[in-house]
Amino acid sequence: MTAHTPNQTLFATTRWTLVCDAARGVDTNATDALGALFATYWQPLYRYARRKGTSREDAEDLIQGFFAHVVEDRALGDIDRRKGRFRAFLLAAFTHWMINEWKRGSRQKRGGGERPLSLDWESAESGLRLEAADDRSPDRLFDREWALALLGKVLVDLESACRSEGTAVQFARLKPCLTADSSRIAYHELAAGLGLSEGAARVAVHRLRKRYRVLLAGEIARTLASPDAVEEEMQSLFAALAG
Amino acid sequence: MTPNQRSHPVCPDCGNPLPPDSPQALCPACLMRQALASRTIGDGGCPVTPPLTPDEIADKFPGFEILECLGRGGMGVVYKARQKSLNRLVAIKILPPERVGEPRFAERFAREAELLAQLSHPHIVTVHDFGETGGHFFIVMEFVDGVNLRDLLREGKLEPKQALAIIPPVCEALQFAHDKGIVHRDIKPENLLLDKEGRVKIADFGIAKLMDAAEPDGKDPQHPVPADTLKAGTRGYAAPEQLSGPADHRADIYALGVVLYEMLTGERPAPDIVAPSRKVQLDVRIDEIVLRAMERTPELRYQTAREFRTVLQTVSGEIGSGVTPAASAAPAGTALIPPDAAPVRSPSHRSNQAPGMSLKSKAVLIGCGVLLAASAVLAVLAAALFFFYRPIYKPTARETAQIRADAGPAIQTWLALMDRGAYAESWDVASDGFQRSVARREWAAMSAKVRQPLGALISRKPASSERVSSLPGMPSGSYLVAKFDTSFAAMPAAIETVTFVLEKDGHWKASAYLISPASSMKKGPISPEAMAAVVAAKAWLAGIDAGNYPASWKESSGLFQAAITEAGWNAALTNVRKPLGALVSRTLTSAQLTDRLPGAPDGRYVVMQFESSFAEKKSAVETVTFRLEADGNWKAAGYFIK
Repeated sequence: MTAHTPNQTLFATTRWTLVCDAARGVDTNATDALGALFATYWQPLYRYARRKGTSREDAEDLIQGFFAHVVEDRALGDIDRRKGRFRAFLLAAFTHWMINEWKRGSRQKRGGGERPLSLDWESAESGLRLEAADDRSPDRLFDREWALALLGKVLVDLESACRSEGTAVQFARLKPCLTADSSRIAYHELAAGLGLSEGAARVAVHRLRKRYRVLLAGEIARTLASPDAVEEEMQSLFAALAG
Repeated sequence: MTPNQRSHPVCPDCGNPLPPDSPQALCPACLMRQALASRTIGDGGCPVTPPLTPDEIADKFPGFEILECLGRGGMGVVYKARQKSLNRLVAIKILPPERVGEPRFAERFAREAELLAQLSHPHIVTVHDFGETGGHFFIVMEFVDGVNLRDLLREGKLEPKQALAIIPPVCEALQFAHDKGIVHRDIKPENLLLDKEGRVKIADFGIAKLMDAAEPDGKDPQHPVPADTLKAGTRGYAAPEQLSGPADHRADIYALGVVLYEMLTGERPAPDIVAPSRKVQLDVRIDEIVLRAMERTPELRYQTAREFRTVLQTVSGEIGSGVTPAASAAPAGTALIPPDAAPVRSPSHRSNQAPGMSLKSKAVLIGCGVLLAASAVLAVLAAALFFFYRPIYKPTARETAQIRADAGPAIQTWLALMDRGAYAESWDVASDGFQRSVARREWAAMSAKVRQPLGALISRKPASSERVSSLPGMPSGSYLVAKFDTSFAAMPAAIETVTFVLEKDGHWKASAYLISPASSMKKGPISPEAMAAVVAAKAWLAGIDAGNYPASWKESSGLFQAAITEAGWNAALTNVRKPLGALVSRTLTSAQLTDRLPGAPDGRYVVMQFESSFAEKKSAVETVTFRLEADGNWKAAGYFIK
């Protein structure tokens, strides 16, 4: 995972639109914040480019260049923000970028070999290799991977919060409850496994689920221009995952 | 399709294969679905917006580090804080400023708070300190690291055992306070906190009285009291006498009765109280206790919290040790209530009866635990749900492109038609496949026979929904199988299963509908009569295990044969049973006798459940319904593998 910078709490509550606006100024914190946002969601973009037939090296360059473009260029304001979703914005901006790069034919290495972002290309690639033959469109897959990246981040955040409170073991045991209907949870067994009373297990599960939902809603809100659309975005991410 | 289907891990919740890139090995679709489901039941998971941010109040409390706002209610705002001097976590409650404006409030506040600070009991939230700063009256309390009962109830009702375990400590604490002349006056799930060890603690003792006293006539045109807060107490939990005038400690007993009712049933009692055992499987003696606590007249309630606790513990002890009175021994569990059964009268109407005698005879239940909706409805709805089994999900390109709209509104609209009795109209908007499988007139007649006797809709809550790409007996497509926990006037605890299909025109339409009693999964004792059916069922299943499908059809009841043709049955078994492979083990988990199955003619039925293991599927539940035929033999009337 990416290193946790001291600003994390700042941008954890900052919407992407604000971050982008600020990043175009001179605010270096905002640039960091944008970098962190990007760090969570670049992999779906990379795989999108790969699926579109871009070679591995070119895809890496595209991602690096795109990030520099997002941070430095004024071009951001030109692009329709698509109802304020970072997901849609990023894909649209990236597609735009890919096409322009192609036209220019100038896929030169950026930053004199020094890369602005340190990204785990291997992990992005292995995600591609794991993939079975899939006839879904790259756009659909992008949405699905976006949802996976988002959930991955939320769970890592949840896990590290638990670890810092010394409840990492409990988290490991209780996390399957995050996907289960509450009527299906065997509190009795969980309680026995954790050496808790059944009531205590119920409380612990409830807290974990509630916390997860708050983190998830918060992360989704971060990628939207307006918090009103959280539910709608959740629905479409669910559709992308269920499909 | 995918080459490595062999031993893919499968999500235990939706049954679909777990994608290799699942975060933390959890099914991503279920992660999202659970978050969505909780949003629809009103827990948005969104942080509360405090009237004053922690930063804003920080300078008013120099001795504390204000950490976060925990919540707000009619009685003030609560912050989590660290008391610097003792380095301990505390909760600071700031009383609503608009209600402390009057001159002598400070005096009363000090007097009351002092009294509350003496309430030192393991099941009462301790008051550490109190005071006034910058015009804000505050109370510093013990911080309970846990949740309140309301949070737990949002996730559904509690198991009776758990619900019953919560009450006695609350009674102890109430008794302790009542002995000191302190009445809570606002017992409700929000004020019952459960800490991480599962211990219960009562919060906000005496606050209701304090706030009430601030407004001697209970009216303040400038600062109207929130709609759900009474003079003292909260609507729904406040005892009747609290509405009109002075109330004593017995108001707390009333409110605790309401809380217990809600824990058991998941809902608050309606004006015409329905006994809890008619909503959930429960010993009728618990009904007795709950209804007594909720008597409208204080004199008819338990007179002390101690008495309440003693009675409850005695009964739960007996239930726990398996001692069962005759009244509830016979068919374990609750299922069908005859349509003509009147609701239990409101407690005040039975105040002339001797306490302890009123309900037992009335609550003798008709029907019994395990029922499977078979036959009639299914006869038309195709064998699919009769024989419901979830296949591995393999979406096609066309399907993925189509997946977009949410079926939710379409399902609600369609169910509303059924509720209204607009059966023919419900056919008009059903899917093509549905319309092909049943004629419009037949559907209307069938619905009139099955749905109508259940009476008016009381409540309907979504229980689960699953996406599947194919259902046996139906063409592959994009299906949504939604289950609802539903209460009808004549069947208080039912499960509705609605299957919708995404049609070519992009609309979700009904493709199947099934109503079954909710208690169909409960276990219970097996009677000798039911054993005869179990023996017959085992022999019948053995035939199927041996692959002798045609014989299993020929040996089944006429009802069964009317529901599905021999060829259809063979095909269904070939598609569904055969892939499971050889039987490894089969254990009977329940067998229930009943005279009624929804949609089926009256008769003698036994519904059995087996936990089975097959070579290709380790864990399955087989539900088999047998019917006593005119020739005295038990024959198959339904079979269901999940």
